[in-house]
Formats: sequence, C-alpha cells, structure tokens
Amino acid sequence: MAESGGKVARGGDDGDGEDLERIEDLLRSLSEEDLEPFDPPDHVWAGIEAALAADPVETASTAETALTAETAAKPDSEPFPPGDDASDGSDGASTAPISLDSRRARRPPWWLAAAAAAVLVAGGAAVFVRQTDDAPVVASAQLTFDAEQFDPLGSDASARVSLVDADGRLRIAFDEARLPADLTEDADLELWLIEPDSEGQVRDLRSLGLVDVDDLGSFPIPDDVDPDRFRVVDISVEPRDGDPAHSGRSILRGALEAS
Amino acid sequence: MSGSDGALKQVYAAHGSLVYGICRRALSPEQADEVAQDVFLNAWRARSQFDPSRGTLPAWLVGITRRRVIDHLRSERRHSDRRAAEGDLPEPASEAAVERIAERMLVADAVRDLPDRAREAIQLAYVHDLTHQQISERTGRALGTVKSDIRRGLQKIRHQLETTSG
Repeated sequence: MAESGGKVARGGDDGDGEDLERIEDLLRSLSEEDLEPFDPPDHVWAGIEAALAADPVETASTAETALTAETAAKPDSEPFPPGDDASDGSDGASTAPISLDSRRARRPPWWLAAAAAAVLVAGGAAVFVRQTDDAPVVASAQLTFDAEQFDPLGSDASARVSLVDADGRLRIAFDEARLPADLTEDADLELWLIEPDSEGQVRDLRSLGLVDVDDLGSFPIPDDVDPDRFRVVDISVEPRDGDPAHSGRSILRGALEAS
Repeated sequence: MSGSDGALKQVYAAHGSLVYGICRRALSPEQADEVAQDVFLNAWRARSQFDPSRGTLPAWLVGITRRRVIDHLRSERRHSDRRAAEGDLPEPASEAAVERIAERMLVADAVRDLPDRAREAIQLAYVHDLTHQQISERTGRALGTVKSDIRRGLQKIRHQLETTSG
C-alpha cells in the first residue's frame, strides 16, 4: 500500500485526528533549512545581561507570586455523582466521586518547570519520577501487575498516575513509573482507560496513546470520555501489527481514586 | 551573576535559537537582535505567569515572540506611514505571516527534540516526502516500526505545541 507524504494511518478513534493532521501539514511546510537551529550571535545574550544588570531583578520570593487565576472548573460543573454500582471488580475500585473542583497547587518557580523529569535506566527498566507538581490533581491510580492475568513483561513493572486538571482539560500524567524498556519484540506500550461493568469486566475502553518510556509526558483525555466511568487505567503491550484494538496483554492496571 | 540570572541563561541556552530563528525570519538582522533580547527580558519579568500545566516553556516563549515581533512591525509601520503613502503591506497579511513562521519554527524545534529514530522517520516522511515503504527500505527498519515511530513522534510534537493560552 503506497502512502505518500507520510500520511498516518488512523487506526483507533482517539479524537485527536484533527490535531495530528494540522501538525502533519506544518511538518510538510518545513524545509531542511528550517530544521537547522539559528543560533543567536553572542552580543544578543550580552545585551540581555546588560539590561538585567542595569535593572535589578526581583527577588525569588516576589517572583513566586502565583496568578490568582479563576478556578478552571467548567461553568456547569458539579462533582461527579458517586458510582451507584458500587463496583469493586478485580481492581478494588473506590466509589468515591471524582470532583472537578480544582485543588490550587502552588506554582513552582519557572526554572524548575524547565527541568526535565529524572529518567534513570536501570537494567531493563526505565524508572521515572515526576519532579514538579504543577496541575491540580483530581484523582490518582496506583498501577500494579497481576501475575495471574497479565503479560510477564510487566512482572517488574509499576506505575502511579494522576488525573490532573490542566486549565479545564483533564489529562493523565505519570507521577512515577517503572516500565520495561527493552521490549525484545517489535511492540509498543499503550495507555488505556477502561470502563468496568458491574462485574468488573471491561464494558468499554479507549486508548489514550502510546507510552514512550523515554519521555512519558501526559495524555489528554478526549472530551467524550468521562473519567468517573472510565476509571480504570491500563497499560498494555501492543505488537506492531496494525491492529488498533487492545492486544489483551496488559502489564499494569489500577483504578482512579479521588485525591 | 545571581542564581536567578543563571536560570534565565539556562532557558536562553535551551530556547534562544528558537526565539531568534523566528525573529530573523520576520525581521531584519538588527531588528531581530533587538526583539530577541526584548523577548527574554519580557519573559524574565513575566516569569511568574508561566503555567506549566497550560503548555510547554518553548510554546510560551514563542507566544511572547509572536507578540513582540508583531508589536515591532506595527511600530515600524506607524513610522513609515508618516513618511510614505499608504499602500504598504496590508497589516493582516504580515501578521498572519508571523503567526505562520512562529508555528513552523515551534514545530521544527519539536522535531529537533525528538529521539533519533522518530526524528529521522518524520523528516524522511514529511520534509523529504518519502512513503513509509521507502523509509522502511532506506533505514532497514520494519514498516510497522516506521509507522509507530512516526505516530509517537507526532504525539510528542503535539505535546510540545500545546498551549491553552492565546
């Protein structure tokens, strides 16, 4: 099958097709020259230094004054109604409602925000710890390995994720993770949200995207996915077979519980 | 140099060429130098307004760069209008051009930050317009790997570009 211009095959319905198409258009507009960094001449920094010296900078304490932004709650929001199915399933899900009222996290000095999270590669695992705590945390999930049901690749794995409210948009962010880094097969790790039914089986599931152990980042949740229903977070091993469906080979799973 | 100056220098080292690249493509070299300095001084003074939950640091800096470049162009236009007749470049067109330059440079910067395999696959696919099959043959990697590298690269680039501020 010939595909020109690197058109991406859209397998799953992750609701982000438009965003990625726009990025593809921008990429096609780039020339090789555009990809070469244009380093500023030395006198540019010298000028900045001189201006800073002439105009004393604020102390760190005044710089940390956070904006008193309005709560990022949606206009008609109310706390999610508590689950009435009291479903425990295999994940021991809590029935506590997940509230959208944002917790105002103290914003860190900006130079900390520019620091990358630590990624240590020890043996066959990539270990990640998020260094800054920025967006308000709505709920968290401890993801664990189930030796009876899951793929053995996950036997040393663990992760903790948070559902964060980033200015009204919900995302799943990794707080900590220990993930298999050397997949010997041609495969990826993929992140899912699962809606359990009253027996704890999978009623529905949605992919949030592929997990890159070198750069975990955070994953936006599509607007039509309600995290009060899709409350189980799952990571699976997905062979590169062109099949967007869940492989059935989970390595980690856990339920979101309100913070 | 104080510790806080050291922080700005770190940010400049990481993102100076992104900011400068936009300025040089939109303005003359002298104007570019001046506006690039303004951007970093502006960013330093406004640093408490940077909210990492709303977008990445490069995206925030590019937002400041766009506004400073456009301000500069408008100010230049006001000066030249006093001297010349009207009929210069219409304002909307040149501002749209600045927006486009800024977006392109932010994407290019995100591409440079990709892990090697994804960067190579994306460059070959979009800048050199190769098919996935051609990329597979050239790099010796399986077709599925190429597609997966590209998909992950696009997701990362989207993450870099994201900003919920105007």
